[in-house]
Amino acid sequence: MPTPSSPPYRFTHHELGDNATVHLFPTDKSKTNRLSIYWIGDLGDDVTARALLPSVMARGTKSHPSLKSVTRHLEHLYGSGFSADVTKVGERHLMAFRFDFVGDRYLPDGESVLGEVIHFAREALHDPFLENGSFPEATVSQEKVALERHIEGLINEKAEYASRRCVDIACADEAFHRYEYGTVEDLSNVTGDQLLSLWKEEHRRAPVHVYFSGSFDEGSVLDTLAPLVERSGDSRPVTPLPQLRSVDKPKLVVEKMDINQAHLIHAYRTGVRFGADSSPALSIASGILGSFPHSKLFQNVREKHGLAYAIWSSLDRSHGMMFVTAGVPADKWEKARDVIQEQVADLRAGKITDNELQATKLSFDSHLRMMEDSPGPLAGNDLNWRLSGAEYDHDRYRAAIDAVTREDVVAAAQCIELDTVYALVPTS
Amino acid sequence: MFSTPIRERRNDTLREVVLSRRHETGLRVYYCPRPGFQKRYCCFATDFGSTDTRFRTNQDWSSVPDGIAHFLEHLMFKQANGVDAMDQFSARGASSNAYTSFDTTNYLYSCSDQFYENLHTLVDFVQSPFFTDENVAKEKDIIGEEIGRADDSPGRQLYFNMLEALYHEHPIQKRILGTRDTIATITPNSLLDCHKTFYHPGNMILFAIGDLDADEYFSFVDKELSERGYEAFLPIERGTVSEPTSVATKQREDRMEISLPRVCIGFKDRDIGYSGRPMLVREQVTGILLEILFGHASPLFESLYEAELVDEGFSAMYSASIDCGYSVIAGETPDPNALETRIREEIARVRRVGIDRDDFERQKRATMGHVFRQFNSLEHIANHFCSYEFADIDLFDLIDVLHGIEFEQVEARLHDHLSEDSVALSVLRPNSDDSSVEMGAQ
Repeated sequence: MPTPSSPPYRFTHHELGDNATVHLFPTDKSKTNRLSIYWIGDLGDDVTARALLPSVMARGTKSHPSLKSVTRHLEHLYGSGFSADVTKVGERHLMAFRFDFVGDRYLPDGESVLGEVIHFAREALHDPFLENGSFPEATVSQEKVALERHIEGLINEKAEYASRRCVDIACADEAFHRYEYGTVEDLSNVTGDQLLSLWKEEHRRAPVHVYFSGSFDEGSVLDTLAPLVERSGDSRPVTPLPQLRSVDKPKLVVEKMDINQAHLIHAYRTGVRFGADSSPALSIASGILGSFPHSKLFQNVREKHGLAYAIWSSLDRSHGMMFVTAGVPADKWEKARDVIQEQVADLRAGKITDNELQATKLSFDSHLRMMEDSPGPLAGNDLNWRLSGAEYDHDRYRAAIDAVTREDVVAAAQCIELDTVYALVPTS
Repeated sequence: MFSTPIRERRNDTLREVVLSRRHETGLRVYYCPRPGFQKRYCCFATDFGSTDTRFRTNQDWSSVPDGIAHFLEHLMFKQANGVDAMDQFSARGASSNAYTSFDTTNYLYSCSDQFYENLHTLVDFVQSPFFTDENVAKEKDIIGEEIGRADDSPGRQLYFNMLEALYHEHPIQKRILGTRDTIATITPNSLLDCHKTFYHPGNMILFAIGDLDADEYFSFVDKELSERGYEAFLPIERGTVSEPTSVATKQREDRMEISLPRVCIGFKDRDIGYSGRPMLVREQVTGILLEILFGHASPLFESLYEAELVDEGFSAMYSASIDCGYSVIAGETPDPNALETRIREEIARVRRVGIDRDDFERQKRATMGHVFRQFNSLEHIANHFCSYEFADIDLFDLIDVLHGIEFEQVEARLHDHLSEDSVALSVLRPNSDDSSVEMGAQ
């Protein structure tokens, strides 16, 4: 198959079957190669079982049946990295298998690890270690304990915990509220049989995306990667995206914990997803509000009022949300809330200086250009656009950011509606 | 003017080149070419960190409050014209930041365009102190919040609790940020004293990486510095402490709002005082030893994981500066006592039976892979180059040093480090947990 010519920083896309796409990015800017395989599913009732499956699969393959033998094999391959995890993109739930390994051209004495890593990856996906046709009982039970501790450990990092609670409250009756690692309650009911059927379903029928970047032979790489997406029949269809909701009535929730610093999270709905026409303008609006040191939140909440060390806004464009996240003094969270809401009101009212607009557009463009050195973030954006059904690529997005006008920003800012204010405050 | 010609250091395994010159002001100037890259990254680092709290350049010793190096890092961004230096970078689409470690303070930016405008800003703001009662007072609030945030971080608390247990006198046990009490005593004058002493180019490094023209870069730096009229650099004498070889506290226990107990076991290194290549060798030898004993391919990790005593976060690392060093083994566990006992038993067992040669060879290969991975990151290269350079270590030696490590060095390290009388234990328990830890019976 001929490889389409393209600028060096762009992925080329190759359909290797029904809902099975390989994305290639040959580059010598990196000393290691990155291989990521995503099985696409939905954030549904089986989220906990889906979260457990990758970690059970990572415990052993047909040729390397234990965690120790897997680790030793990868260490021998010059410390090749392997992770099996889940992630959520809007209401999609992805199983993600990621590998990174030293490019062959850096290895001594003409050694090569590329073929061996891909061979290992194929086994990890399609030939995990099974005992009498099942995942070993002890493995399943150990991974259940590990996942339970992971879920319970959410409380350890207070800022992350507060953000999670805010989503829980803001999106309570949408699938999006679900934590990608599921719940402790559901975990006790997950069985080895269920995991085995889930694995059979996913490795045979899940829509799959493979991203591969680094130094490799472009002529033969698709043949080398093909076994990663082998399947016997048709893929499961990709489900349509859900309708985005609008705000019913803004909520305020205050919770207490034995901590020093208060955490204040604002959740807004924007109705704007990846790929929507107003998406680039909304990015600029959120940037003016709180992505940079020149942004309104940093300038006012931190520099003018000294109310925060960390304060920023971010978009989750997979579900049309915007968040403002701040760590604030325990006794001043209400003052911080007022200052934050003033900044959003100013943005909506079009109170934007030329400097704010220009610096934000420049910062985005600079960020996008620097990203061209890094296949990882480029792959992430590409996948997000695809999962949102958006007709975007890196170049188009850069051009769209460049074309955003002040009027576009103000129009996009009108879409920002406050849904929930969540404050996690110290007990005393 | 530069006082040395361009020196080229090349490493064929990593396929890296770094060019260097020393400026007449004493500044060490480096450039690592990355042709075809969009990102350009530059950092300006001083050999001044949280542990430098007592020093002199003449007769009189200065003692400054804990946390002052980090406080100074924040304040440097404030300029006399009222514009925050960070905003100047931001207005050009560049991003800037800074951090303070035990040993260094590092100011940095990355950009795709206007590299030299940004470089001017970097040198200018770091070399132009502007401290007033007002901006010092205001920054105390902001850093107070940063301290509050750090106090809520279980990982950080556990780590510093362990350092406090290991050390009697050494300032490494002090929080890099200081405390709300220590920073309360910081004044514009104490900040100026630190700046005058440690921010002279003779105590600093400038490192740039990206797609630049080498001659243009060195000329620009020369012009930037020559206009500033520096006095001669006065060598800095730093206060030393006499740190006993014993640990300060065998064990300590603290509580926080967390889900599961955490354990951190520290081993104090007595074989210290190295710099340069010997320090790098010892760091890598110790790293390999710790991976063999506690890494995810070790028999210990497998048995602990299967017994549900640890999770994937279980890890071991060695950290060293010239006058102190320590190994840390840390993890979350439902049973701190059992975990601590198993770790001690395993060290004793391996001391009896010795290390496996296959494990050693495999660990060397794995470590080499990690080094290649680290060299993907422009930030990693620049930042680590500077902190190593202050200890007379050449980062680009790393891969050759690893290559040359012998089995016997790792075996010898097993016996001179990780000994029973150099260990301290720090445990962090959930508030709801009623039990308490007992040291393993010996």
